[in-house]
Amino acid sequence: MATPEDRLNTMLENRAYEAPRTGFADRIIAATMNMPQVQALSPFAFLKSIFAEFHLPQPAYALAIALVIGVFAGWQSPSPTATADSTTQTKQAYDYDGYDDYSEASL
Amino acid sequence: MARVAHFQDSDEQLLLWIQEGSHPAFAALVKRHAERFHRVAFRFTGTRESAEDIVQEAFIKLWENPNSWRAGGEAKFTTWFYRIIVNRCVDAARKTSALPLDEEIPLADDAPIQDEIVADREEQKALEREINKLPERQRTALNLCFGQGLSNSEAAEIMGVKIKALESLLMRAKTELKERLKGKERSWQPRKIA
Repeated sequence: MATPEDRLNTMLENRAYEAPRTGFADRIIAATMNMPQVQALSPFAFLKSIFAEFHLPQPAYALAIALVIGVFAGWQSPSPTATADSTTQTKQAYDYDGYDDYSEASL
Repeated sequence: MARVAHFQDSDEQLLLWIQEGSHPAFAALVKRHAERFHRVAFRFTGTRESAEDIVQEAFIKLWENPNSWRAGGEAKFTTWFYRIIVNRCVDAARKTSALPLDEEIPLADDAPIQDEIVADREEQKALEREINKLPERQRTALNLCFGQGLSNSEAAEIMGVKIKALESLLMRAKTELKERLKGKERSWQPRKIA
């Protein structure tokens, strides 16, 4: 004699099942035949794709390179006007020369 | 030289090839597993066509984005894909919140003797009806552990629970089923199994 537990287990194991229609796997395969895949991007590929969005003409690259070279050259050879030369009197120094004496006299 | 997918290759090897765009590898994987996943989907949907749709959509998603499976990140392809199928079935059930109609539940055709056919049919209908009334997780545990050839540990992994928790779900589900079916069906009286 089977117990209710055994009977239930038997029924659960033998539950009805309707197999898929013929050619089920083939239909899935056919559906994906010409379907494109989404490719995962590595960090490098991701950055590359971002920069690929910027389409600059070649003259723009030349200009950018020229600017970079110019800045670099400027740093390497500082202008003489940028240094304090004791022998050179600037225009501002000339204009204000004797200003302090004048101020004291007026007081 | 182009690599050729073989039916003898492991699922994981086929998936690596699929990630490289090999459609023959995908075909081999589908042919190997389509019916197995259909069987579990059928347990949830109760209709052949709905189960086919769910399995087909899941495989198409896999083809479109094969990198959703990560080598080494998951134990086995089948465990991972069972989880996808179960989640899709549960989502579909929540959306429709419709149980299979009693009249449409297919019946097993292994009735031992002719005069028991009607009684067995009613019994199967009652069982399916009561299973569909169970809480979602209990139903999932039953659907995975019976008639799928899965071990309890595999079913627990698919559900993302410990084996003890799965066994508890199964016990509660079966207790509930026995209680609900008691007195309704003739079969709940102990009888000899042919």
